[in-house]
Amino acid sequence: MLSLLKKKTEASAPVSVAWHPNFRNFERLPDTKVVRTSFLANGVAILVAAVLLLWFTYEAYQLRELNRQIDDVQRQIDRDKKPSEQAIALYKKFQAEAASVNEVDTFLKSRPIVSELLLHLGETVPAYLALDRFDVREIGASLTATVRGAPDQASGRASTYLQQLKNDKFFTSRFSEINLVSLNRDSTTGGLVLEITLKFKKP
Amino acid sequence: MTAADLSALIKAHPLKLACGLLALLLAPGIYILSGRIDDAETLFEQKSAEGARLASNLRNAALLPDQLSSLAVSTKKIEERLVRASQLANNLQYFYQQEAESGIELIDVRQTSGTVQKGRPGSSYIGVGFAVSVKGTYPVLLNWLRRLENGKHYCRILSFSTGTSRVKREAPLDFNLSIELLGQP
Repeated sequence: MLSLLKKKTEASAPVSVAWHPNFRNFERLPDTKVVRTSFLANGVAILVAAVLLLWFTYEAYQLRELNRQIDDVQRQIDRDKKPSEQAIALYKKFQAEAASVNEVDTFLKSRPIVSELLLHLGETVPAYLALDRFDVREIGASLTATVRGAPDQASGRASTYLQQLKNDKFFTSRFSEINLVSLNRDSTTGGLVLEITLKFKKP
Repeated sequence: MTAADLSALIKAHPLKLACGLLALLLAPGIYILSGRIDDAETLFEQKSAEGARLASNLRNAALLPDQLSSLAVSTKKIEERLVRASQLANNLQYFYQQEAESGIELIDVRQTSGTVQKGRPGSSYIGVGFAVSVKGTYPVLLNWLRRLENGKHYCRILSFSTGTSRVKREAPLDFNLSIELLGQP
């Protein structure tokens, strides 16, 4: 197909002897191939220029939109800046005030409420037990009590009371360990004296 | 190439040359615009973030004045309940008043913290220590203890001990306490 579009010159004319004279003047004949190439080249040039122009326009529009949005946000920032600074100053004041309240809360919660411990201990102590001593210290509490009854019966009661303490939700919520540390006979009364230690839970 | 050749070339291909010239002008323009768009996008993101932060500050601070005023009232109430470590007589008077009101016998009361005391860094308050020994029947002592823990001043009990004689259980009890009242120097 392309060979048909090629400009025929005298050089490329058939070598064979024509059967009639060729009077065509190739120099003056219209060159159809040149017209088509020029048309395509112009089309491509226009297309490229149009694409670049569109691209440029789109980018300019995009930049304008971005600048408009930046201006909007800047206006909002200018409007909110002063009230925001006031709010931050207010919040710092709030934090300082809240720190005082938290400090009081921490102070009060740092130690157990002894009256509650005594009340609950008094409410739950069985009839066979007589409380001798109750101490609350830094890491826990200790309880000394005399178990009524014969020694064989008293040791079983001591064990039952220890189990009772370990099953008591009030104590288990406050103490991590509840242990019987001693169970000795008291020389003056003859009864069995138990000592139980209770270790506070870490806050 | 002479001027005549150039002129002939322009005359031969005016459209292509015009388009080429336009493309030559637009290409650097597009490049410059792209750079500016990138910068503008970065700036927009920064401004948006700042704007959102400010808006969030304002939104969160809507109830802040009311909360602050109620907190200030609470702080004032707290300060009314503080003891002053330097005011020894007033501090001891608190315990003597309790003795008169509750029916306990105050065996001993001493302020264990010095009257000149510095607070911890970053802390508004200090714990003013007292060693207290009281005597009485169990219900009276327990009532006093509850009053002490929920009384005028904020109180925490550092150590506590009580005991009774195994031989004479009906005798009055002793409560020995080491306590701290929340206060200021």
